[in-house]
Amino acid sequence: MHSQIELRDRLAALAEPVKPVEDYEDKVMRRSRRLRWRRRMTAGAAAAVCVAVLVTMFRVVGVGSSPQLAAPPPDGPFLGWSAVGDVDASLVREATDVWDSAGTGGPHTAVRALVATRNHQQLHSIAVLQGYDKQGVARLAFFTSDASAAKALRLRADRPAPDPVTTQVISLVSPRLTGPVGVVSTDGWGTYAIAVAMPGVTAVRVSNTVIDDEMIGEPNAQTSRLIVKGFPLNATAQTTTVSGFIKPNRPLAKMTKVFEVPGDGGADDDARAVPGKVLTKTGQQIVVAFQQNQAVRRGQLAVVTKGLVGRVTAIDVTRGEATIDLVTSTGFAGPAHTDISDVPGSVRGTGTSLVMERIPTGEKVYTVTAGNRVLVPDPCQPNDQVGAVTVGRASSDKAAEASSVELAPTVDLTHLREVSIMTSPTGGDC
Amino acid sequence: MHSQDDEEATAFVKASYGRLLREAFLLCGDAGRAEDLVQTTLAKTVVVWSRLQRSEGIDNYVQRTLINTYLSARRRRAWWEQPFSRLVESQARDEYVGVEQRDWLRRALDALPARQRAAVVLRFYADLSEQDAARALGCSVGTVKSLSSRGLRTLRQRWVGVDATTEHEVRYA
Repeated sequence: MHSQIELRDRLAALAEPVKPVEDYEDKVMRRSRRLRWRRRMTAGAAAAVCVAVLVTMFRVVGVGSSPQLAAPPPDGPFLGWSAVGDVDASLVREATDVWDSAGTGGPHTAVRALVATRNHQQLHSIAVLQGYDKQGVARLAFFTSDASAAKALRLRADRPAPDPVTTQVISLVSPRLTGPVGVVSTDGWGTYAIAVAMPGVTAVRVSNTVIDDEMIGEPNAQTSRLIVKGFPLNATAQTTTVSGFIKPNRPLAKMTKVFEVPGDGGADDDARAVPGKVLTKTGQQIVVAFQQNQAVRRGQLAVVTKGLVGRVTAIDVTRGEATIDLVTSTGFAGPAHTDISDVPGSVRGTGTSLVMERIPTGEKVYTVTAGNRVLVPDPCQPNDQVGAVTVGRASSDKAAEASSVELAPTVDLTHLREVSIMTSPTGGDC
Repeated sequence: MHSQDDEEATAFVKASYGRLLREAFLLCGDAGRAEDLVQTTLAKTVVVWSRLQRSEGIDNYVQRTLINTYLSARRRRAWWEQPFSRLVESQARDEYVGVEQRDWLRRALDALPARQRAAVVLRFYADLSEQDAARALGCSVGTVKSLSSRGLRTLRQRWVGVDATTEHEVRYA
């Protein structure tokens, strides 16, 4: 084989005798039909596998329609919620007796429990009951143990039953939940928040603006429909926010917030918050409208969740209006102290800003560092710690020999719509 | 498939079957396997017939499918069909030289690696240009040159060996 032509000839000669078998066209067409069917089956199976993988993936990563919170039907005028956990029948009986013997509302009938649990880590016994008083009015009552009286059960709050259709959570925030009725806790972290959410809520979070974010802990920690959380004594219902979350029953699904509402107060002898709607606003003052026959007096504090707005300086009882000096106004002044470190002093508005001054200088050196929280005592509370309201944070470190430091107000005073005026529980002067 | 497409495809099968079968025989070295290879190739072509008419040349597609099917079958065979001993063959002699030479060429082609064999068949039997052979093999023109050159060299070396054997046997005949 010396040339390519010779090779070509030999190859042709080698292939020449090969002849097709009979019916080869039919064989090819039959084979093509089988191949086409097999390809369709493969494509169908692949599509089914892809769909299955996608569906599984969506379920695993939690993609899907956002879950809805379905409200249970009301139980007459009462919340139609099931009780949280196991109900201790003896505790319900004990709480009903306490309820009947307190005040003039008893005996209570058709009593049903939302919470009745003993051996709680923080408050020992907790009961939340609904029932009719003797006038047939639906009521809601909170009970906790008295640590100073062998953990006897005490009635802490007795209020009208909330709207059974729209209510998603009930709460009680007070520093008077651990001792005798009306007595403030002696513990620095003696304010407690009790919150019970409607069925379907998988986690409840209670946060408070008197605690810095880094001290709140794990905000997404699992809780149940009932949460009890301790706060410093200066925490109030006004600085508390209760949030409810639901989590779809899917792996990796994220929690969805379904409500976020302010906490409720109203324990015996707690300062009463009177809501006031802002009517007019200047750089120095605001005028708010409040319901008449309320216990609003001069000198009381106006607050929002983030802290202090100002102090009531004038009241028009006939029109139900109160004038409030903002914390940055020149008319605002009062005693103050820093949170935790308890550095004494006073605060004063300069017209545009706020300063803390009269910080003692001398042998004992008081340190105020940038970011320190400064509190103003509430005159309607029994001491300087309980319900003290955050007025601002130190803008910078205080110099060692200085007696004043500039503060940044914690409240955005330019966007106020509603405030709460902290009044005496007895309706008198603070 | 529409009946018109069906008819066209059948006509194409009839027209190209013989040519492809001979080419497949040179690739496989076995008439039965060549039938199977061609039928598989044409079945694949018929499945995509309507699409082929809208795109590239059908002959190019068939050529490439034939080579790919052949190479894939060789690769599969190499994976699961391993010979466990070498067949001891005697130098079976035909009394006719032509028959002997065809037998030698078939054996020599069988000894070539699959891609070299495909390159030789495409270049020297199907008479494809280097570009067309490269397209059918799915490789570069340079690779086709290399494959066909090496294949040709191997065939020549074997031919020289056969010539020497023939002369030796003639001398002692």
